[in-house]
Amino acid sequence: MVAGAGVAGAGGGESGDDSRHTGGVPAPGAADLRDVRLPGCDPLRAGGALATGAADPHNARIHGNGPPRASGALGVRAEVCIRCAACASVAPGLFAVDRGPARVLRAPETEAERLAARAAAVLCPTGAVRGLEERDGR
Amino acid sequence: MGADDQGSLHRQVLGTVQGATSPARAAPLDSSLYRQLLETAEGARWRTSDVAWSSFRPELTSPALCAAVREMAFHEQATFSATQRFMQAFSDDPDFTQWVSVWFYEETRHPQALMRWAEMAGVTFDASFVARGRVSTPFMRSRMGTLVTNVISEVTAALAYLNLARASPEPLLSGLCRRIAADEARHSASFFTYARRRLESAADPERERLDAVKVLHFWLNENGSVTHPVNRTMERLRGLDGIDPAVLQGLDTVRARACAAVGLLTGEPIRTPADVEPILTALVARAHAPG
Repeated sequence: MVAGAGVAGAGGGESGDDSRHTGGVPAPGAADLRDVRLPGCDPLRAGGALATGAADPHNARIHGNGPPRASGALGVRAEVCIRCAACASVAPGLFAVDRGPARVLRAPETEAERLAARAAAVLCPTGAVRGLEERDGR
Repeated sequence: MGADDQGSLHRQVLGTVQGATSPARAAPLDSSLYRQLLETAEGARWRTSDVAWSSFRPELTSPALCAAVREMAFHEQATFSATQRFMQAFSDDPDFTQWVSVWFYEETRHPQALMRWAEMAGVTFDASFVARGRVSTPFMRSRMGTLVTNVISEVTAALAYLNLARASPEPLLSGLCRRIAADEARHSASFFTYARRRLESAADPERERLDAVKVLHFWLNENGSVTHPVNRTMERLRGLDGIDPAVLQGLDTVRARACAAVGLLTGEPIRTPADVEPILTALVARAHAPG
């Protein structure tokens, strides 16, 4: 959807609300952050966002890439994959998306690849990319 | 992990794709992120003819559902002016601006598809609908801030569409929203990839990290007081009869994903919103430290 960074929609929304905002934030540098008092942030709910798969009616069998993997191994839950290719965009050497659900090309071998795989898991909208996140306590 | 180590690791994982792509160093097109991301998008992208338009079930629509779709179609129009701003703000970055053409192409289909569904449901649009939706405000000065804001915005949009897909009793809309959600999620990953490239090639990576975390901080702390499209969509969905509350995932999900994404991008240990303040304070202190 929208994007314009920092882009607060000018004018009203379609429903006439002048507070339309499209994901914008104040420009960095606009405030002296040393003086900003930060309101408390909401703690994450247990099993929260990064475990969005938990809220899905689909569950747990990891397939499409061989048998279910032990914790730490990379897998794609094909039944919840929507073929967005976010994983292949951030980690092209590790994931591919062609006709079916995303698939793992190979396991990450370096720390950099593990970082890329974790980015794929974070940016997967349905929680289909699973495995390495357990190392972060997710 | 130090900045040099991180850059080296990013080059390792992305291989030739992630090589020297700094705008100032003008990477050859055949090694650009544009090519990689374009090919990835082409492998995953849906076509209008893929949509089962004949599956529309008018008896399963409702005024509330139509209102939600109309609202989202309206906000989607802002990609037009955002594209103009991208082209101006990143005019010296051929790789990124080429990819923006992919982004704009895919984003332009969203309001059109939503409006087509809405028209099938009996909604009418006047001639000013598209023009009014195209208004947006200027970008921030920081390019890193712009990229990170878009990572978060696209994550938010993907979640909103997935929620609408899950909540909609009308099958055509449900399928359409899943396709749009996939586009938005891929866009978030693409913006993330460009942000990572920018950090890797930055002359002052500390400054880039600071800008990224600043954006996250402002988004976490200011966003609750404004009407974000995902909030508005949630309001619409809550007004629908028979919606399972479990499908109405809110901003907690987006907040968590935003923290994790910026943490991975910057190499800072950001796992929850509570981590942001102390890390931002430390980054500011380093930025203002003598020498």
